[in-house]
Amino acid sequence: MSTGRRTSRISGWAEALQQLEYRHNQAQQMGGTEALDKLGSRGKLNPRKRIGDLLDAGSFHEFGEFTQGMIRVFGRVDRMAPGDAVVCGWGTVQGRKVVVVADDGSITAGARGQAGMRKATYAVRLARQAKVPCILLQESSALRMQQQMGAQFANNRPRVNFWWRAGFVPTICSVMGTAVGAASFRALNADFTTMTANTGALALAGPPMVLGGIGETVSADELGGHELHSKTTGYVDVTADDDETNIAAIRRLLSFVPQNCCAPLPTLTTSDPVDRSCPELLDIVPTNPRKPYDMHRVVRAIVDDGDFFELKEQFAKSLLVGFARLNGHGVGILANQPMHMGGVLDARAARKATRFLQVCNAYRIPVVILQDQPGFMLGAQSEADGALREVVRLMNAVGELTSPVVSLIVRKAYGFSAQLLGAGRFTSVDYGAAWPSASISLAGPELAMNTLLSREQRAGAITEERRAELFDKYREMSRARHASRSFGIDDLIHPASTRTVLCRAVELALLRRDATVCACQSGVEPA
Amino acid sequence: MTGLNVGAFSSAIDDDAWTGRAHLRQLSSGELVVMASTVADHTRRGRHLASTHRLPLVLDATRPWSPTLAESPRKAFESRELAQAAGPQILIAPAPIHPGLVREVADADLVMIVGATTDPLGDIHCESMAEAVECVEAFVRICGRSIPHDASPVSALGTTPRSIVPFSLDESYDTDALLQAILDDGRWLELAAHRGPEAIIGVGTVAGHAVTVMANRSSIDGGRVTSIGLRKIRRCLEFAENRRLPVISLIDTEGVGSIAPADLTSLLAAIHDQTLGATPRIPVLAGRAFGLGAMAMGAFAESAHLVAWPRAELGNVMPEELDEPSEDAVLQMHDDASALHAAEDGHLFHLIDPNDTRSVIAGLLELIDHG
Repeated sequence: MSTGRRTSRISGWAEALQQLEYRHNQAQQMGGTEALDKLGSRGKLNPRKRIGDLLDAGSFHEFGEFTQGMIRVFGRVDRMAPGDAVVCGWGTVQGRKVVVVADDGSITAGARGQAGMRKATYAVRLARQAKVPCILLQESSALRMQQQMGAQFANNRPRVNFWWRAGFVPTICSVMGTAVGAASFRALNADFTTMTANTGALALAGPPMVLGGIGETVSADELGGHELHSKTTGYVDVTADDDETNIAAIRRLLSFVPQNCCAPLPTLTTSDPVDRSCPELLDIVPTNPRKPYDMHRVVRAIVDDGDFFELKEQFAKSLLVGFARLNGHGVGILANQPMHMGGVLDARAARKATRFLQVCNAYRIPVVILQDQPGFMLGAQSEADGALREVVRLMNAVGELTSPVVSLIVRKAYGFSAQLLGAGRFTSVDYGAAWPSASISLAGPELAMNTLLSREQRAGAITEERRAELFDKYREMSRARHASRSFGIDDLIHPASTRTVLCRAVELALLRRDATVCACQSGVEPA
Repeated sequence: MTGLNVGAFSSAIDDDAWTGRAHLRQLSSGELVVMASTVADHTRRGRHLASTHRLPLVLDATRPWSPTLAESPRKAFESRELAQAAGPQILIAPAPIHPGLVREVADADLVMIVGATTDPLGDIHCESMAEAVECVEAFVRICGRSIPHDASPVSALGTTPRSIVPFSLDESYDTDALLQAILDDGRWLELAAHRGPEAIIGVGTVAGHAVTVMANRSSIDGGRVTSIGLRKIRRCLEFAENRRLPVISLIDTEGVGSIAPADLTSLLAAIHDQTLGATPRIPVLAGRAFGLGAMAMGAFAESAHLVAWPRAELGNVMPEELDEPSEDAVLQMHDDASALHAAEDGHLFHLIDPNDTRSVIAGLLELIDHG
């Protein structure tokens, strides 16, 4: 039974709507002109501009717009935080629906209050419920430190999405400012991470806390800038010069991944004919196995319109990973790079391959493997780098792979690493082929000879003629045609017909993808 | 398939050729349905046909039938598995419902009772078979295999929520008219209308998306939900879960009415269990959302897409219900309960102009259904 009491000063719809309009305008101003100018002077876009650039024009539906936080610091005047430092909503990218969460760096450097956390949590959950990609434009230190001080810290419970790993809906985390603390965890648990150079940084703790904690004076860039994460740790998939390029990279990445792990793959129409011959491959790849060449040129010669979107470009350069299209179908490309350390698979390269295969597996993206490798990196340094662990992780990832796989041996495929990556019948590839000049073996002829004849060599009991004879024998035994005869590989193909064959093989493999039931969330380990 | 008889459903019901076995029928709206009698073999055959073609199944118990209890357990289980794979299942039974039909009632998405009675098992009570047929057609049009694509555009409605609902929370309004303003024109079927008038449940479409709907009739005792109202809410959630339909709830309630504690606990527990499912929920706080009544309607569900109007208030208890509250305390509590504060604290998906309700719901459904 109502009593007729109502306290609000608002007395009618018109006034209520005016208030909404006022709040809307307040939210649009974010941290205010001064703070926005400051962002701009650092070369950063504000969150609304970032969202505007990311989404198709006019497609943004914001939610939680009227969320408001209060910034309370002892000894300072309380300040309001419009939107509580986060802007959320959904929209479309090239017509495909996505959910987007953008930190507002103009308010407390993007640190959120409880309301902002609720909103961001809701957004991530919505993406999962709607089974659409989730884009996180990060510039945040997660929850504000001042709101977590004191013994109430013990009451903190993680929100449900805290534990969610990548691999269910494509999650792209774009680091556009300093993301420290819990915010950085999300970046590593995303499927893909992009970073804006010079402004983006990922770290467990920011410079003020590092200085206060251990007395080390260090900049955010030194702590976790693009140099570190693109070259040394490999956490970042794409490094962009500025926010605009970063956003373009996100849009491009999205074009290769499905809406969720069970959805069909996006396919584009292409004007590049399937039966385009690639005679230039004969010039690009030297027959001398010791002579380096750039695998990028091989990939670009094969794929649609020469368009290859490389990931982790600066990390573990002896292996290329990225996305491209074959007759319009998005495929993951994994290729050895003979230009760098002869294409050898060291601990870092194995980690790079593992991560890439896990992401492809989660979304059942076909993988095309181009092999030209001498095997795993050997030696004390490699062992000290943890090569063994990375090899086993790669082995496990390959063992769990359900994505269609097409493998091509371009020149040499030696050792267990070659087997893991689809040379022969060791793994169940959908189609495995080799060029006629290729060789397959446990080890290269020279390594095999040196290993097997080491005792004779030390005793000086072997002549140069004998060495040459054995070398020729091992080399001949390794010819790919022998594997072809014994049906160890599916076919020997002419290099010029590579594109045609791979296009057909991918189309065939995709039939298997369509026929298999999605396992849903195979899980992706952190980058 | 024993026969294919394509013709008007209404005439098919009285067709002399109707033998009570499984038949494909076409409704006047063009939708195909499978019809079968409740004779065990016919029901199973009908379910098989309906699950194979993903068609709605209409079980007619108004014809001579034999209790399915006589079925072997294995056949009974097979039949039920088929029922789960089929489209919506509708049972038309004469009043009062025979106890032997208990399994059919349990499996049916919609139970229609023909005859003058208020049997609590029925979702819809019809005076005549002709009325039952009309209801079947309306139901299938909403929940059938194909969602109508000729739904009215989002903004093409004549009446708007703001013209129906006054800003003052104390003034009453026509909840049925509000539903009509939000749902697609002519695509609304109320269930269990004959009991618990303070709670409205039913099925409808918003911009072509089939949804289940719950609403409080605030003009009746401030929308306080009674035990029958809670049962209706439970039924609505059960239906939504079975048919994988989103739930829209228009909330305007001051809490619950006078309900025995044991009844209240068990009903709320059952409702809570239903909310744990994967069914998307879109609660719209249209007015007051207080106490257990609001909770039952989904106002505090964590995974819900909570939308509110500026006039809305939400809280655990109506401020006036506290023991001897001071005037200032009541004023303060009303302020604290305002939807604007909830929006500021990040508890709301959005605070919206009531006239945007339909478009906001449609946008969410579009994202959830076709993301």
